[in-house]
Amino acid sequence: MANFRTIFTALVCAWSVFAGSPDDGTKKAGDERVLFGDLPAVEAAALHAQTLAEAPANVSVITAADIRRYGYRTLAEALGSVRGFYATYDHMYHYVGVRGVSLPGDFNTRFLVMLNGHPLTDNIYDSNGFFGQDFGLDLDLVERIEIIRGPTSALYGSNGMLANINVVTRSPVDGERLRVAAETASFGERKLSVSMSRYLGGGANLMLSASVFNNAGMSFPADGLAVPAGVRGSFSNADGERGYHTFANLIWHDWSFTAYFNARQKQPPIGLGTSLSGDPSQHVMDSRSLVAATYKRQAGPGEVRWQLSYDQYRYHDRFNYPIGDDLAAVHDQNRGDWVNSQLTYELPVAGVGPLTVGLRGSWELRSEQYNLIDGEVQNYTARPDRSVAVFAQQQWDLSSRWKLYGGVRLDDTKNYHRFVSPRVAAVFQPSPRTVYKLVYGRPFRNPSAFEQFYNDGGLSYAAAPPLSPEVANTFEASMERQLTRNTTLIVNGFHYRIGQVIEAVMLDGGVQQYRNDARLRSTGLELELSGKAGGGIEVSGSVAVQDAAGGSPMTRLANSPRYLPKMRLGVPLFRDRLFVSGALQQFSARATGSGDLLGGSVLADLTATVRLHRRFDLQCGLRNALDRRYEDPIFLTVDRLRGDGRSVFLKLIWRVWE
Amino acid sequence: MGVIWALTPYLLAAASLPPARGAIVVAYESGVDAYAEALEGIGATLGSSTLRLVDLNAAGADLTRALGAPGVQLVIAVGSRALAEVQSRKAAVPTIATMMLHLAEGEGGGHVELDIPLSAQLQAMRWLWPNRFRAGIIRNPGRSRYSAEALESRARKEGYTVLVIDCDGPARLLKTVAAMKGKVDFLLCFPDPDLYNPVTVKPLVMASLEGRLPIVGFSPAFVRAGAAAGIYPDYRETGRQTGEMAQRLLRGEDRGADEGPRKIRVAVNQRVARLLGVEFKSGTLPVEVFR
Repeated sequence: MANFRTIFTALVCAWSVFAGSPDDGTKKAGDERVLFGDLPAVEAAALHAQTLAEAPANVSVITAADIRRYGYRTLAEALGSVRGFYATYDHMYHYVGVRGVSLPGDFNTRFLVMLNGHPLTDNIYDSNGFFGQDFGLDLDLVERIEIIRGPTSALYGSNGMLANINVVTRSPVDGERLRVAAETASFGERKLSVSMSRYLGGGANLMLSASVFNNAGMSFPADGLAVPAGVRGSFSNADGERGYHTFANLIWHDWSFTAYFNARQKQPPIGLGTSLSGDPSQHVMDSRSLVAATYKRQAGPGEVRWQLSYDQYRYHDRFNYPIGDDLAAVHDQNRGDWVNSQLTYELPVAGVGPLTVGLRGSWELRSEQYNLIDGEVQNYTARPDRSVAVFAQQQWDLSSRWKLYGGVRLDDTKNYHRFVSPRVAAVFQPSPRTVYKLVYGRPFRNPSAFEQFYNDGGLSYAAAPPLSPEVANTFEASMERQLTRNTTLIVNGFHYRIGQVIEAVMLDGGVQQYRNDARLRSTGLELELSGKAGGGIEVSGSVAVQDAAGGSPMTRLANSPRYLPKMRLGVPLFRDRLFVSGALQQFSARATGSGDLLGGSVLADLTATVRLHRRFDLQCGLRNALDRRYEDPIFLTVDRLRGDGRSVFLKLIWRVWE
Repeated sequence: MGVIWALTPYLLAAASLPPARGAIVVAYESGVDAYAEALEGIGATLGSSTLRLVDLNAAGADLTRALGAPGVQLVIAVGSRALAEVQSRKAAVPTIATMMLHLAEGEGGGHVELDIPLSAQLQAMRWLWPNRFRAGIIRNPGRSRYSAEALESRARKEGYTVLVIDCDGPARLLKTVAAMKGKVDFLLCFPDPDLYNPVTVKPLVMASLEGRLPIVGFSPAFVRAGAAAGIYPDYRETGRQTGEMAQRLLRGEDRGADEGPRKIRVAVNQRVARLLGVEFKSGTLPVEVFR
């Protein structure tokens, strides 16, 4: 609580410093200036861009230019550059933490990842564990990534606790007619992608994209790991990854159609539960696909939007478990299919402000989990869920400076309880340069089908007792201030309390079980200063100071760094023909699940992007350029894993037909 | 900005010269690309040695001294602020006002306005999008110099039918656009800072896209912002036109006239056109294409 008081005091001080300073007025220009002046380009002119509703929250945006200039190749890399976010990697999945929360053993379940406003949460793990190549969209297709901090359950339901990440794809009208990119990197990474966009006539625009990748992976020391007989010293060929991504978007008048199919197979170098490590025959395969149609148009005084989608999730793995003197190959199979539909209507309420009301239904056609051992199905579970939700959000324009937002959503599911999640926010904008926001929310997270229903007879998971939803109470305060024309300061304080936390606990014998009896809290302060200097030089720096604890009595959360300073610098050279960028990221010590402290580190990245020719770009980059040694807390057969050392990548982009 | 850099030697040279016999004082504001283009046109026509440039945004600019200098025969005011500054000093020589909208009748000089006549706009549209003869016009009664009947009459002469709806402020703008949906093929927007500004342009463009109603804007920025097409003056040519008017006035061939822009430019936003399914014609006239 002392920390929260400190943060509140800091925010009040910041408020008092900036609230009193006057803003520049504007000069009145002659009428002809309307011919010469700039007008803001309307990004939503792409029509298909299903952006989040104007969120009363602290928002960061990673633009397509950022992705290109700083060489982000995966969603984890892009998010790792954002204030307060950090990523860990167990060489099976990337895990993203924010607000100091990224519990080992979790499946990225406390935030939402969306593709053009469509949640990518799967129906088995309720996971957003798609941040590496398992995220089925090439970042070259991304127009921007919107990161909304804070609770969004009042609009989007379960899992919207810590943040909402909306990936907005480029409009088919913006894409190059034909584009090819080839990429190679350390650890045997290879990737080839092709995308095209076409105007089909009659207002129909189509974009198609496909890519394939095949990575050999790195070698690992076998120290302390249970490895197959014959492996000594270190093992290689057990970290490979291959797969494909496809994406299609057709926009036509008021309609937008999306298809997103992908699959990735990964060799996990580290075993799961009691299985072996360093066994090249072990693998996991993920596929998260969807087809969706969205219709949007004016109806009466407001706008109606209807979405219909079919979503699919496939997962299977093979891990080899020692049983007696033998090895048993256990195949874990998960299959999920579901249909979503959502209808929203947004209308202006005279004298009040915009009102959004919505109805959402989700019908799971399949939710299967089972194991295959020697071709025999075991531990079969199929508990398809059905849910319905109604929600409303009202904006009250109290004055030109004050806006109040109130939203509430009622979720009802067949497998779990009803839940009401409210959110209120006050936004005070004393000048065009300064805005203050206060947000309270009560988001929630239902147990996933995996957490609640899965068990494999005690090989790696034991059956869970009946689980209740996690419930959080969240408080956020932020100030965004444009200090000068090109410099912006953001101060953001938060306090989260999450009860009934669903957490994997390790039982005797290395078997995990999900339980509901934990609670956690996280309090912190984030500052970010960003700006542009002369010559187009971009500079930004941020720091997150956070204190996250859980359990009873409260102890420091695992995988929660107290300090997360970041810096980024980008310099255009030779009339933008060359862009050189660098990023520094430090994280302080983090605890493992067993309470051991792993030392912090500083990671430096360098990227250079050069325009060789009007149609060719070449990009190269160094990751962990200082080759710092560090370890990530993980939750496999071991509780820590060495982070990747220095690596290099090279990417060639050919705009065949612009 | 490139234009300004290109002009810098001329400007420095001209500013450092004493007013020669027959000197022309040009009052303008730096920092506006369109003004720089117009200055380039003026300079190309009159020659930089005869010009005495006064940048109203420059520290130490002394317009009064420049106007009172011996040998000054004419003043060119570029933009409405420059005209106001010149008029406030009651210059003893004729003044040509250029690069302005809606000029009132002046005295002892001429005007080169930026208002493009409706007939010229419709001719451009006939070329750009043939066989679409229904135009919508939003008229701001507080600003428009023409009545709805006059606009309809001029459009009829060009073979167009127009739907003119009055709109007296931004609050009614979207309703006005909605009222045109299905009744017109495109919406012509005339320069009006009350109706079209950074605040109103976003909802306006969104309404245009959702109503499948292409907007024809009045500036490159409007086209970039989401208008399907744009028709606007060629500012460099407007400068030349101003220079030629100055030459005629100095030779005593006329006492100044009111002229509109004699050359216009046409631009299309390919992205918005593709969204709306509008197939603009690519013909012989140059069209700027914004992607």
